Amino acid sequence: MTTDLPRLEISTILGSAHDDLHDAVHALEHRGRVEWIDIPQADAARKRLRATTDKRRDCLIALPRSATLVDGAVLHMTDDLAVVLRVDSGARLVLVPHDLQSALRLGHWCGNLHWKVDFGPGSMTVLLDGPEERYRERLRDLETLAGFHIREESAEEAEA
Amino acid sequence: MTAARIGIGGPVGSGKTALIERLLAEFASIGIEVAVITNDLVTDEDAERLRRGGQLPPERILAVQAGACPHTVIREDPTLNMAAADRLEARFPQLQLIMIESGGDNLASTFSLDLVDWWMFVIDVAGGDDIPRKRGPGVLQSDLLVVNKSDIAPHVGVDFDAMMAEARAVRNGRPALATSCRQGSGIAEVVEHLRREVLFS
Ligand SMILES: Nc1nc2c(ncn2[C@@H]2O[C@H](COP(=O)(O)OP(=O)(O)O)[C@@H](O)[C@H]2O)c(=O)[nH]1
Ligand SMILES: [Mg+2]
Repeated sequence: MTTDLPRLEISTILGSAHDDLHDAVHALEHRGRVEWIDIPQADAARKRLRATTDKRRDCLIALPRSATLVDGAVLHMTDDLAVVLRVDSGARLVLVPHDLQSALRLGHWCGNLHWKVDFGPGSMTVLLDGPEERYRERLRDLETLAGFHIREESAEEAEA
Repeated sequence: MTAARIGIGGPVGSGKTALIERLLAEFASIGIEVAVITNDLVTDEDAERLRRGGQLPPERILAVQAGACPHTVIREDPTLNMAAADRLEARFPQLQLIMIESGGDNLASTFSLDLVDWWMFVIDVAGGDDIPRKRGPGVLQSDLLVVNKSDIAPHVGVDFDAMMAEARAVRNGRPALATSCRQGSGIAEVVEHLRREVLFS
């Protein structure tokens, strides 16, 4: 449910609260004049979505195709109000194969499941789009065919 | 505002093209500028059907041939569809909505959000009332689930209300709507939903 706070129409990303607009956002935060929109990583690829701030303000986001919703994106900025995006990148599983043969199997397996992955040195990170258990179930099927483990990330690693 | 891009997926014969035909009539009546991209295996069958229907100028209907499993061009490598959408946008700057129909696929098919901003999955009663229970990714992850052909539920031994309740249950409260593209019922609700969630008009 939204409140009767005036609705915002957002058609560009103005900057980043982590970077060029850091000080401006920070100043407004001191006055309690920053509203946040939280979205999961899976939604960040959308160019158009209807979202609600933490103060339950209705926001109609329609970006050009070239823009990307990233963590810290400043979507609205006046002397009196900033709206900043927070992207929850939490949901991921880091898979570490134990040998070359297993790495090939693992890659082929995840590819066949059409999972979204990022490659790191010696590991492959699966970006989850749905409940983690659904992914772990599929990986259990692979255990007899390949040697690998799921690396438990510390909170800091997940941040980075 | 750039045109919204929406996906319409679902099994072969569930009524994706029929739904598009119904939506085109509604959008025409409320003055929303639309174009369509169809995906077929190795033909332009659906695009030809829509062009014959005459609801849109033929050049607003593009066909992309998947050549292989239809999901490849909406998820694994959507570049052909993205290029088609870019072409439509460049040619018709007034567009507000581009609808992309996937070639009929299985219950695991999903759209990449690199291609569309929002997508719906169309199933129908004749495919069996156990489809929602099978919890396919298309059924679970779509922004809207449409259960079509409500008109023939009695003829295929489907308790329609129970099927809708089950569909809503597996989706954890995310929306599911019932339609009959044959009779035209439920179409207004789909339009209403699209206007609120995607078109903002
Ligand atoms: N009875 C009935 N038939 C429908 C309905 N919607 C579509 N159909 C029929 O189902 C068949 C497949 O429809 P189509 O739109 O081509 O499905 P698609 O493969 O998903 O695009 C056609 O013969 C349609 O006339 C409906 O709501 N009720
Ligand atoms: Mg079709």
